[in-house]
Amino acid sequence: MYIIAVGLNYKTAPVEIRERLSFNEEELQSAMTALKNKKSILENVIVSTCNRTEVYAVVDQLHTGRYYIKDFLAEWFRMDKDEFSPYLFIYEQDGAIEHLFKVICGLNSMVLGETQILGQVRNSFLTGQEAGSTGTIFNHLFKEAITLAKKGHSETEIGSNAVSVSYAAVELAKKIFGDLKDKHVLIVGAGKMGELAIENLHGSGATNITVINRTFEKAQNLAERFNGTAKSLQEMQCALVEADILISSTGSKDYVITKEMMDSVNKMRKNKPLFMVDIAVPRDLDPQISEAENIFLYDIDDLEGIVEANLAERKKAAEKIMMMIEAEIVHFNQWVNMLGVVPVITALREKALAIQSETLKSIERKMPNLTERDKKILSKHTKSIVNQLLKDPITQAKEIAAEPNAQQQLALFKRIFNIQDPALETENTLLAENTPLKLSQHPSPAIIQR
Amino acid sequence: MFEIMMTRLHEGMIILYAVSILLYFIDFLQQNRKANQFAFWLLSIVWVLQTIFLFLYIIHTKRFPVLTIFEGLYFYAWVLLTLSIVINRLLRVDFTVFFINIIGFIIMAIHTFAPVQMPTETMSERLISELLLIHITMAILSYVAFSLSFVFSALYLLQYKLLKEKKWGHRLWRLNDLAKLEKMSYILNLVGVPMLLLSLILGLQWALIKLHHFHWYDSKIIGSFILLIIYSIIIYFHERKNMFGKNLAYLNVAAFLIVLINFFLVSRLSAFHFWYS
Repeated sequence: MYIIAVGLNYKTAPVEIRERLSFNEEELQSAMTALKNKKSILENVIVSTCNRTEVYAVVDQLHTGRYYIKDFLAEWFRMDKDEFSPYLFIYEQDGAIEHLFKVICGLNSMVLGETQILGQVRNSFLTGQEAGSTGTIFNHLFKEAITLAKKGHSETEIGSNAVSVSYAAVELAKKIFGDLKDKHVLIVGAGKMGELAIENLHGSGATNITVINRTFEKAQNLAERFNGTAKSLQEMQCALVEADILISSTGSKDYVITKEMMDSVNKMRKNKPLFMVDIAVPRDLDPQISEAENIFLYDIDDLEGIVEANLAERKKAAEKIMMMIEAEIVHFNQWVNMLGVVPVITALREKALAIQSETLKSIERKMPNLTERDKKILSKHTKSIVNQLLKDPITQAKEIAAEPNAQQQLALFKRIFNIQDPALETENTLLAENTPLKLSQHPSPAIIQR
Repeated sequence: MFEIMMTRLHEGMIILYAVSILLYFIDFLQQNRKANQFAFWLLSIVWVLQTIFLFLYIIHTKRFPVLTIFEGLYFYAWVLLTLSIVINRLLRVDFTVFFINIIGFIIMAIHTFAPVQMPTETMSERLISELLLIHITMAILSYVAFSLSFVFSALYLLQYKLLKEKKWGHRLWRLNDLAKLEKMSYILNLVGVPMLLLSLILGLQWALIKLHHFHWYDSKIIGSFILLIIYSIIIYFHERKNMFGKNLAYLNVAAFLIVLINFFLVSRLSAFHFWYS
């Protein structure tokens, strides 16, 4: 049994390839069912988003697993393998588990630490469960992955702060006013940037919007789209008195709002807080304006500074999550090894109880006058002997499972107790001779095929 | 024996309190969530111990413990700690617990390490009066409200500084928005002012009935009325929108300094609050 991750994402493939190898939500279940029916594939989950298409699978052999997954992709998307193979990445065993954990925690995302991917992977996993394409291994692995991602997000600051300029401006405004709902937004300049600014603020709850532009019609058109008001440049001073948030993005070569203008406005505002963002280059707002009390003025460099600082914080958090991931991989490998111990313990118990049962029958034959009560007492006490004798070996077997050379030790354990229960082979196909459970023993380096 | 045992336990509790605040400080500097969580648990233990001691003391003395400055300090610290935990759980305002408990810790430390001045039983008996108990309790509660209001104003000034100086870091994002900090400070002043007013009315009523040498120009009475006026002005400015943000926060911080002066210094100058020092 091996775990493998095959796929492509924004790092390995251009959008032209990604869009051709993308599953839509409706076909995901049938795709997983189709893949499950392929040779060598024991379990699978397909994750498909705009940035990635990734197939996670439990396979009986690595080379056949790789082959049949590519074969499936080629068939499903009616493409030649050579067309997409150069863009594929393949991770195996610990590499595949680590990749899944990184993806679900948002460490592999375009925006480091984003949380959307957690929901997407969880939905894929649930779809896989519905399709019956997941089994013991993936049911455990994906649940662990989801828990890990939630823990990573709650215990670190990975996804908490803005990492885009427009979002940073909104977040900053919220740090001053909290709720933007009742705040008066003044947009100076009805160009593309102004439009984007309104969209962001409107999306964050701001409804009271005024647009000022040199060409009044343009201001009117933009204001109408957001149920706002348009004003002319001459009405600037009046608009400034009312505003709580000001976003300026004109093409003017000189300052549109000077310090002198703001000084006179401030008297009328009684120092009411004003959040000003200057996204124009050259700047529209005189930087000296920020000297006044309760005026918070930021330019494009400041916003980029926020993004950089937040990204640095996210990278720090990502390092913490990587440590969590490493611990989780060890934990998962221990669980996998434990899977191998369970049938051994069961077989040992069955063997011991069979001996106890035979012995009891032999006693009954030799002592035919035993009453039912005598038989019950004998059965109880002989079982007690069996249980007490097996207690330590069973505990030790469980301990062995967590050790690095679990397989060899487990083989020795089986040899000592001469456990050759045929049920052992059928009960857990994962333990078949040709598919060793050695996730932690030989961590394969990630293979990337380009 | 009871007092000695209580003192030793208080000292142990002070150490726990100090460790908790240290952990909060680490969280404040380095954004360490584990330190924050551990600090909160330690603080909860301190709160449980404080509560047990408070009730043991009530059972032991068979009265509400606010009649001496030491009892008052203990009650003050206990209410501060209780509210800091409640605020932390209900409002999720980062760093509030840390700042409130710096005040709480200082008060507890003064209470624990200052020379013990147990009141004589006759003194306590003399002071037992429902009117007086309500007067002192309400005064302490109003001081607690002003203390919390001060913490929110201090946080406001810190956040204001971070925003003005463009110091983008975890502290800026973890601290609450200016509007919320200002609102919290205002609400707590709204709670504190009527409490102080009622406390003064009840105190004056008690003094007029019981004291023979009562003077209206007593430093404690003047100090308390000055406080009432200052906090009423702050509320008025806020209501009428005459003053915003930073200036209002500075005024609130200054008002709290007068609270401290009134609590610790003016009490000692007072002619009839002599037992309360």
